[in-house]
Parts: sequence; structure tokens; C-alpha cells
Amino acid sequence: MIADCLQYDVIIIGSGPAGQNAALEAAEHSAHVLLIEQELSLGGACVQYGTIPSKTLRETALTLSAFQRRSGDVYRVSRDAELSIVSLMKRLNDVVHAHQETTKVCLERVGINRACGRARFVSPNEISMTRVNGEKTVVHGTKIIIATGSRPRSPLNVKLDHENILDSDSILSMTYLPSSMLIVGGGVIACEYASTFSSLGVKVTMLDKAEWPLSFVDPELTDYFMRQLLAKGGSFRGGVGLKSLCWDRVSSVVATLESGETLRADKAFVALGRVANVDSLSLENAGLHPSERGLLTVNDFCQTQVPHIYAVGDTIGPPALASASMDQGRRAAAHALNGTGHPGAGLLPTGIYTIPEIATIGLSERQAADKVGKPLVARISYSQVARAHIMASPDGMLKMIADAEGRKLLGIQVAGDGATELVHLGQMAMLGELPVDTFVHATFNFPTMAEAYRLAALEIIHARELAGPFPAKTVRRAAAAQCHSI
Amino acid sequence: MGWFVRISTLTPAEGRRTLSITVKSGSAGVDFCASREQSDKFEVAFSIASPRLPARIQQLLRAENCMSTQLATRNETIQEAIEALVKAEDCELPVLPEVAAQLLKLTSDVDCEISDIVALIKRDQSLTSHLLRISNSARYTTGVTVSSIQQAVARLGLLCVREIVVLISCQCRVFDVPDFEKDVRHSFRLSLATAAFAQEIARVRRMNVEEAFLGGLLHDVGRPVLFQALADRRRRFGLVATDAQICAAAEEHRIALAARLITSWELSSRVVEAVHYQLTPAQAPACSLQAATVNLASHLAAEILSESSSFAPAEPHPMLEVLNIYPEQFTCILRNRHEILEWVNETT
Repeated sequence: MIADCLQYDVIIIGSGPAGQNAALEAAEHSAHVLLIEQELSLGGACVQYGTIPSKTLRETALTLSAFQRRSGDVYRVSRDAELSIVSLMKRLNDVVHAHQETTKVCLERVGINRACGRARFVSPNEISMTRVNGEKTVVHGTKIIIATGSRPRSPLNVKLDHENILDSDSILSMTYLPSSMLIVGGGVIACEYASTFSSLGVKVTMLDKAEWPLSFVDPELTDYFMRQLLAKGGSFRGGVGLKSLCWDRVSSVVATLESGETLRADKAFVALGRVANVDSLSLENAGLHPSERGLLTVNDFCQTQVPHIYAVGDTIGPPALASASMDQGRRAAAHALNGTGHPGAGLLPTGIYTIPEIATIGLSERQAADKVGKPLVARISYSQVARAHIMASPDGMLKMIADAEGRKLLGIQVAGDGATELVHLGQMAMLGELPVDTFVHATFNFPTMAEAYRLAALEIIHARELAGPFPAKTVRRAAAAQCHSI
Repeated sequence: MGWFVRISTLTPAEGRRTLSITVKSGSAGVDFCASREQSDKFEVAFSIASPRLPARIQQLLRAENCMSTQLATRNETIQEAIEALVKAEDCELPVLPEVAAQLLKLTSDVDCEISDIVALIKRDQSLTSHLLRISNSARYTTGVTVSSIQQAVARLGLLCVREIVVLISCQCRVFDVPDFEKDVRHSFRLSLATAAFAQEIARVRRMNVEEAFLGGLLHDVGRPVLFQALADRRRRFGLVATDAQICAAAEEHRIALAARLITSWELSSRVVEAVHYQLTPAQAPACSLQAATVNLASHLAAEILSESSSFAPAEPHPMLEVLNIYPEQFTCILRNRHEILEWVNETT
């Protein structure tokens, strides 16, 4: 697959979202690009174990749970007794194939060279690639972008066997649904799988050191997640330390807590963070040294301390989102090739694919309070929005946060069906620095979930005007809008 | 010397009655019975060890007024024996004598740990097959295809599994193949080591470990079944075949029979495919990686069981490329080889 040439303008190690976007951006600058991937197919962990497969399973679970509700019980969905993960993921091959074909076509169209092998630095500008059969090739790159992604962290007190105690790389290798599952961790990946498996009828018990899951998001969103989990028969045990987790050699995984209590389940899923895939790169040969947490340190343009080497995606740590990685890849390539580029939008949405989903952009209520003192906050329940009733999804909320004057939009938090799409409306308003009032003056399609923005904006204006000299007109307008919407 | 009988008659649609010969293997001297229904005729074939055609069979043939009856006083050929075995609805899968003894001991001890029973079952392809077959039978099924021992225990419960194990220990035939004992034992050792390596490969490649283990454990299950069946026929019914011919037949037909047996036990279609395409993984319609896993695992198993092996192959195994296993991952797979060998030796 590798071209005859051994000299490239840009060498990119890793073909996940960050690597692909870096390669495309570099090709846009007419650079001679080599993209190295150790797996046979493009896409990295995102396609093989991560985003694409997990979201495919989630979509099936979501459809199953929503179908009966949305059809008004006209159709009843009974779960096939033979329901297995394999049957739930029948579409996966098609999804992955379509994604990979599109990527391949894009890369080929712009003349990006690809090679399959494991890369490591021989010198700051030389990369040695080892193929599966042991063949080695050394290539030279004027600029090098490290986009090798990450892998699940393996805690010392847990022996992952990928059979009964699984991590996020092996969880979807399960072929049948267990009747019960222990999930260790309370972060995004743990919550997403907890949500998906509990929707599929698995009795899920989450265990975490933190008191609450998703500790980085607004507490109201955490409450929302907890309510949904409990409603599906799941549970969260916060503030617990895990002493050990092992297979009983018969049929159960046994978790022993530091309190001495033991919990049993058919399978266990460990999601305690991820570590960057940089240890096999021989970074020392390039003059690079990862941080104590195993991450590469970069500036706003994703440039490492060795100026011609860039690092992007999960190798540089949070936010470790596919969307952020793509942006970093583009920025790094642009900066590497013309020394310019924007230093990042600084406004990244967060999407948590639980069922229903959660999404945020900008500041949370607490962050806004720290920044502006007394922000104005509006909470709109999905039950106030006609479209939510039509979709049979009245359980959800949109929270709008504005500055103390109630004019500038500081953040949007959404929990409920379609949240990860809905948040983008707020993102665009924030990027365009549009005032809160825009949502009241703009005309949206009706009925749509965008109505939640209008209602939230009206509440903010209402609060703003209550504090001002002429409140009555706005109060009437807000009430009228709500009546219209419902 | 015995009888090999082939009877053809018209199908019921043509106005003739169907032959209704109820024979059981081993009863009344009848060794096997295979039937085939074609578009225009119904055919039954069976062999009888007795030098005289039993009166019961003669009466039956007369009563049925068969269109054509060919009776031959000749010995069965190995090809005919294989054909019959492949068509037979049920093939016996005996257990090794020492395993049967251990199982009886465990099941007769009311205080025995279920983990000991599970460990014993997991180490033996016959017991595993019997457990999964019975778990998927109408009496025990919960509607979910059981594909692994831990799934069986989790789904059915410990008491139910113990009940099935008692059933197996009472019903299972013990291998009786004096001429091929070494070959049968080698097959069991090979299967066990293959299962262990398949498990390691699956772990490295993040594939399903339970199915990989099962595929490895059952990849050669056709061979001991063929040894037992062909040895029986030679001893009791005059099958004309040398040891070498039986070994060659077992080698030639082991995969097809294994795939058929696993299908009949209603195990996962992925395990069936992995076993069926173990020599030609690229041809597997959906599970080429699983088939390649069995292929590589059986190669590694053969290597560690071969005393002369130094485990330093001159050429990388072709399946390493198919499975995209890098040298350091391969080292990781081989890391447990001494434990695997020890485990195999302890068991068999």
C-alpha cells in the first residue's frame, strides 16, 4: 500500500478522526502526505471498538424502546427471546462499511498515501514502520502528526479477561446479552453503556468512587440521567471503593467493595478512563517526553515541544471527543504547513449518548455564576413543547444560561431525545454572538424542538424585565407563547 | 460378514406406502439405518452383522412389497460407512474413561463444588458438547441459544446444570477404541490446547473469547466420533478398512462431521462457521476471523504438543496477517504456552 517514495511533507500516525482530518487538511495544502495505520482498516478505535459500534447498538436499543411509545401502542414490540448483541448489531457491518468507504474515497481523491504498520520514531524526522510480517520500512517526514488515539485504562486491582470482565474495546465482542452487569466507573462511556444495556433489559449496577455519575456536567443533567437509569431498573452506587473484581470460575463476576460488601453479576464492564497510545512510539528518539499522565503536551496549535511534531486527539488528553479531535487534526495540519491557523474555536459541544441523550455547550450554571455573578437561567421542560409530545418524548429539559443582564448567551444544557442535535442551535447562536432575544424574534418551523429555545429566551427576557422598569408586556408575551406552543 | 441392504420404493405420493423400519443402532444386529427421500422414490439402507438376514427384516420387506430390493452378502466399504455416518441423524460422542470416572465421582458427591464440575466440563470437548446440546434441548431451553458453559450456568442455574451433568454421566458412552486410543487422546489434547490458544488470540484481538474457546475445543470433534464409529463397524459389522484407511478417513471427514454435529447441537452459527472453514478461513461467509483464529490456534496447539518444537518458526504463520497480529502481540499469545501445556497434561 505504501508508495515508492520514502520522503513525505507530512506523516500522520493513526487514521482515527484526528488523523483523517489532519491528512485531508494537509492534502488541501498540496502536501505529499503519508497516513500510517496499524489496523487493516481505516478509522482507528472509533470505528473498530468505539463511537461507531457503540452508537449503532445504542440506536437499535433506542428504536426498540421508542417504537411502541411513538406508535401510541398501535404496535406492540415484544423482545425476541433470541435477542443477542449480534442480532442487535446486524447493521453494524453496513454502517462501518459505508463510513470506511466514504473515508477511503475522500483520502484517495486527494492523493493521500496510506500504509499499514506500526510506527515508531527512529529520529525526530524518521519513522520506522513494522508490518505484521516483521518487514520494516523507514520513512522521512518534514512534519509529523501523532494521532494514535487511546485505549481503555486497566486498573491494577482488576484482571480484565475480556470474557467476563470487559473494557470498552471488548464489551461489544459479547454475543449474548447477560442478565446482569456491573459497570465500574461513572464517566461518559460508563453512563452510555449503562443506559444502552439497561434499555435492553440488562440489570445494570454502576459503581464509582464519585458520589454521582457524570460529575463534570450540570447536576440537573446528572439527576436526569439518574432518573432515567432507575426507571429502567438500573442503579448507581456512588462513593464506593472497589477492592477487587474477579470471575468466580463458574458463572458470575464478583465485586468486593472496600466496605467488605460483595456484588455479583453475569458480566462486568470496567470504564475507568483511557490512556494515550504513545508508549510504543519510541518518543525519546524524537526528543519528546510524555507527561506523568502519559499525555503529550501541546500549544494552541497542537504543536509539541519539538516544533515539527504535532499531537492531536486523545494523545493530548481532554476533552477526548471525536469532534474535538477532528478540529485538532485540521488545526495541526494547517499550522504545520503554513504556520497559521485558528487556535481552536474554544466552544466545543459535549454530547453524551445515553438514552435519552445529554448535550451541553458553553458554561454551566455554576461556571456562569463564577464568571458573571448572577446569571439568568431559564429551564424549559420538554413537556412544554408540542413537538416533544408528538414524539412521545415529553421527558427532557433545556436549560439556557445568560449573563446577569439577560442578553448574552453563555451556555445551553439539554437532556432528552435529540439533545445532541438540538444543542447546535445554541452553539451557532453563541458562535455568532447573537443576543438571547434572537430566539424570540426568529421564526422557527412549527412544531419543532427549537420552540424550547424560544420559550427559554422568553423566560430570560421575562426575568430580565421583571428586574427592569416595564415588566408587564413581556410577561404577557411569554404566557402567550407558551399557550401557543402547547 | 454381514448384510448390506438397500431398499427402494415409491414415495407415498405415487400410491405406495412408505417403509417404516424402526431400527435402533446396535439393536437386533442392525448397525445403522439411513434414509433418503428423493423426488420419486424413498430409499432406505442399512447393514446387518448377522450372516442370515433376520426373519423380521425378511417379513418386513415382503409386507412392504418393495419395488426393488437389492440384497448383497458383502462387506461394507469405508466410503459406504462414511456416507452412512454423515447421513445419520445422531452420532455418538463418547467420553474418555477417566473423565467419565471423574464425572461420576463428582456427581455422586453431594458436597462437591459446582466449580469443580464446571472446570471438568470445560476441559473436555465431549462433556462440553453434551452440556450445550442438552441445554439447548426442548426440556431446558429458555429461548436463548446457549453458546458457552458460563452462559449455560448463568441461564439455567447451578441446580439445573448439576441435573444435566448427572444425566450426562449416566448416559454417556465411554470411548472404546483400543486400536486408536492414542489418536483419540491426541485429538482431545489438541482440542484442549487449541481452545486455550484460541482464547488467547481472541483476547488480543478483542474478539469473543467464549466462542473462540468453544470453536477451538470442538474444531476436531469429528475425528474421535469417526474413530469410534469406524472402529465399531470394523469390529462388529465387517467393515473392510485398515488402521491407516480409518485414520485417513477420519482426517478427511473430521471437519464436515464436526460442523454437522455442532449444527445439530444448535450451537451458534458463528462457531459452526469457524469450525467448518478452519482450513479455508477466507471462504467463510461471515466469520473469517473466527475461522482464522481456529486455524492459528490449532497450529500453535500442534506445535506445543510436538515435543521437538522449539517454537521458533522460520516463516510467520499466514493467519497472523489475516488476523493482523503483530510480533509483540504474538509474543503475548505465546506467553502462556507453558501454562497451557501444563493444563492440557493435567487434564488428559
